[in-house]
Amino acid sequence: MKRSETTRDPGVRRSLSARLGLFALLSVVTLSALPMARGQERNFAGSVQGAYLYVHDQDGEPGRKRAFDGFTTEMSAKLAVDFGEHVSTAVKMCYGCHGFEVGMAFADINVVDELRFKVGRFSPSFGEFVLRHDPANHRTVDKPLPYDMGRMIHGQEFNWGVLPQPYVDQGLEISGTHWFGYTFQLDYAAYAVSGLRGTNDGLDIDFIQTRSAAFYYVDNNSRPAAGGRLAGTLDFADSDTSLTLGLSGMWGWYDPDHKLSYTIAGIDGYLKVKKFQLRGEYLIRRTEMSLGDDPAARFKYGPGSNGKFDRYFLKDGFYVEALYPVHKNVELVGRFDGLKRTGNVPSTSTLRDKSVIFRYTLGTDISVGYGVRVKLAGEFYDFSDFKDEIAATLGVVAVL
Amino acid sequence: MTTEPLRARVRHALLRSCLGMSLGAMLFGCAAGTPRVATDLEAQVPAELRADYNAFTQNCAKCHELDRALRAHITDVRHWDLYVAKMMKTAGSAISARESPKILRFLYWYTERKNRLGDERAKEVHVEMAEPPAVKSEPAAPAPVSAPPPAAAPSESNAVNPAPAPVNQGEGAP
Repeated sequence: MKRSETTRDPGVRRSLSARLGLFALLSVVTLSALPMARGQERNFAGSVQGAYLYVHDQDGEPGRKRAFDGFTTEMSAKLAVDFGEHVSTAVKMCYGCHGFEVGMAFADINVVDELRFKVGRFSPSFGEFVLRHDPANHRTVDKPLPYDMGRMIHGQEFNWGVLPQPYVDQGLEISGTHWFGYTFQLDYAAYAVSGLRGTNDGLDIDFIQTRSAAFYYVDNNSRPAAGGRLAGTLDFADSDTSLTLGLSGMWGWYDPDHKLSYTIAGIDGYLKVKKFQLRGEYLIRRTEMSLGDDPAARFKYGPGSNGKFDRYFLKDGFYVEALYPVHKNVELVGRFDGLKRTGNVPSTSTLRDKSVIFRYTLGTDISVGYGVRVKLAGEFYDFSDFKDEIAATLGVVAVL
Repeated sequence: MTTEPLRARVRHALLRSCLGMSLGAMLFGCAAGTPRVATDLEAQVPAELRADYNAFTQNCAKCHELDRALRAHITDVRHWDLYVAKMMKTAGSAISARESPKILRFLYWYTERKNRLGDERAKEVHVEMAEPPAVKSEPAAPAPVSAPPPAAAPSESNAVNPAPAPVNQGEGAP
């Protein structure tokens, strides 16, 4: 039986995921309980978030028809072990809407500050949000639209964000940091990973395949994806003001026959002035589609003026987020984000050849003590192709 | 009598409850005396370490909540050398060699204080268990607020060439 046939069975997939999750959980617990060897430093960290997404009924239809509203739980447990000054490992087990998954399992070899190697399963360096994708590290329950995975309204129609986070992949990353005096920090990263996944007749990337252990944590097309990031940070006196600008890129094939390519580019910025923080990113993905034997039947729109069907579509998105503490325990969060899909769509799609979302979010992040915080936000969605929506999120996150 | 469907009424009630709970949490969070790791600590930081504490809050809050660091299961202060060096090398962290000794001085003080409080609490529990219930031990002394001996804390000069590379990089806080 072919692997794809085996893993197509939902029961098999669930069983594999459950076994993998239990194995990872047991590994983390066992490793953290072992006596520490000489020269080792070990640290356990984790977080738990319980959240509720409320989507207002529309024309008598419940929100479930347009979003995964309701309760969700996210959990992570991470064990990092430092073997002296140059080698370390980290294992992170995550639990989310789709069950247990390995969020991190890598070895890190630090030759010098300017040259480090990371080998294993990790989140490739793309953009600024990847560092804050853990629910304990960002201030809203949901993620910005370009990085959304499972929370946005009409997410299935849009096939989620540009690069849903957490995007975890296996491969090799080379990175480094150099400080020019006390003021300027330059960071770089370059990596080769298995890449995003999809099918031979794909019209877009399949993010379930991409993240799921049921399809094995291996490359699906024998062609690694490559990418990198370059960022510069200006740190002014006494850390009152800091400015970071970054550029990221990623390229690869997502289908097993390595004929359908994708290219993602991003730019990000961060400004901190005393306690005020402002960050923003813009991402764009160009994705190749399989035209199939009969594109006229496959797509909603006909060929272009040259008589040919366009093989590509674009998806781009942005967010701007401001954060300010109004009290020692209360931070205000304001966010404006958007997502746009441009190009032909499947004949059954409810989208048009240009579909846009803008979302306005206002929220708070309240510390109630003992590492527990409450996140509350109200959201207004402005759709080009659907009726506008109102949503609210409430989450409680605890640092373990 | 309302014509609103039951499901919609339940959902509206749930939303109102959520908003009510959040408002309550906000008021609770704002109320004085609520136990908070980061904010209660602020008042106990010695004056001579105030600048170091500010460096800690300004730098570390960029990527994660302060509780991430303060609740880390670290008892050996030397472990912070590795972790702060690791964070310095996290892309965009902006923790310079000028800032890292300040952050380390605060974390050294915080960890040693936490260890002392833990030891005193352990002694207190030991006395309570050893003595008959009628004889209560004296409550533990208030938390000491003085800084650790200067020798334990890193200096500005040796931080110009920070400790050799730390280890696994990124992915947020410890």
